[in-house]
Amino acid sequence: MENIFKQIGEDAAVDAAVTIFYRKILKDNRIKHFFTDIDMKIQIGKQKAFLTMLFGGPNQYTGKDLRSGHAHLVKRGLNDEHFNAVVEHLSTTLSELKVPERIIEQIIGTASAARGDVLGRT
Amino acid sequence: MHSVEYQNIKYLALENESVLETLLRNQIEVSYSCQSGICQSCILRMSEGEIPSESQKGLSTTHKEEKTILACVCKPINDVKIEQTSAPRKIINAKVIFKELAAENIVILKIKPEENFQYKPGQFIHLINNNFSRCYSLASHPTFSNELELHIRIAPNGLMSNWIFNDLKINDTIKIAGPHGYCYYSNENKNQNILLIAVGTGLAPLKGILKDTFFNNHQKEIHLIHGAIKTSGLYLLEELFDISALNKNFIFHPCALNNDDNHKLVHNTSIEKYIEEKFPDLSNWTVFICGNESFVKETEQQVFLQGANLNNIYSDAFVDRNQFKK
Ligand code: FES
Repeated sequence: MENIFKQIGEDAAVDAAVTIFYRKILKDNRIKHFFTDIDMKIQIGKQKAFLTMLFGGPNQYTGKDLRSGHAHLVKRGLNDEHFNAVVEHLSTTLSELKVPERIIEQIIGTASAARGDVLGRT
Repeated sequence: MHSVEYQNIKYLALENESVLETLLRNQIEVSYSCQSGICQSCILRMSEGEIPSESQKGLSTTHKEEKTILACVCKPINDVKIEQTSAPRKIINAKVIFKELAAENIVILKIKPEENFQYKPGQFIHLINNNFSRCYSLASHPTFSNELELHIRIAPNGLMSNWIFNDLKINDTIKIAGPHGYCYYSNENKNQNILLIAVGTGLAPLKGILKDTFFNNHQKEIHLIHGAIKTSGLYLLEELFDISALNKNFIFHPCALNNDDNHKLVHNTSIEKYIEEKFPDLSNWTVFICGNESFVKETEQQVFLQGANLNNIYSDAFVDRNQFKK
């Protein structure tokens, strides 16, 4: 996995990706209400850490962080539909950045594996 | 081996250890997450010592100038002193020079520090009165005046603001500490248009920043939007129109939801709509946003969606303490 991060251009790619990705999320009526009352810069820091992990860059972000970080949103009704919407935006973001299809599939695979942690399933 | 000083205690850093690791190993509670210099949740300030450049990667210019570091990727080069970014600074005395009501519930206060006080226009200070303190932004510019100008909204039940309004007199001495904050103009913004957006007394820091753009001879466009509920709340209306008449690259946009004075030059609209209509593409702009917390959050998202680059959005939100009281 280490080389996906290198292949798509390391930090600069993560910065570009997070900007596009977060704009898509904030424009999406299905999910934007989960994001409107929080500090944007802190949120983007977390998104960056998450994307870096997905791209296989250096990171210590864990399933536990994902679980505790989303617990309050699960209480507010966060469900599969919302999770799918976010994954969809991630996928289109990567396509727009011309990341090869094969790598996008790999990344989406890793992201989808976080579903249980994000939605607080046991 | 180098030492890491935190809250007056010195800890020894092990070989190749980051500041975060040294602190955690000594059971000091600090926030962190990714431990790889990405999420910025471990931000601290290195008040003394040489700052390794990799520990400031990805931070804004103003954060760098204020000596903030990402503790997880900061390996000390010499002995260092670390503190929380909000750690109290030295307390000094200042004398009240001027106090005047600028609008129904806004006082303009000018105070003169009794010793040398350095700050960047747009930063904020703590005003201290015995057992309570509050933050106020600086509307003054250190090059043009040795007085500090503060705009104080008299909050219903506000301890500090009511004390200032009712009790504080000219020539009284008041204690201050600071400065703090990252919302100010830097050379990085030189080649961009500037959009300053304030509601209420959020205007104070932006007035300071506006002066700084003039001081730095900013060549690109400068726009200031000031919003209030009523026109009477636009407390620097005349002064800002005068300034814009003198500076051809500066345009002032006052907005009021309720134009009660029927002022011809005041736009009768919400800031949100106004920005959407007049500044549809903010991709080459630096944006400064100040005001109450919910306004700042919403406006940050709005300008980001209208194309502003994350690193070009500076903001300062005023927290209303009374809203937490039951
Ligand atoms: S812990 Fe994420 S930047 Fe330091």
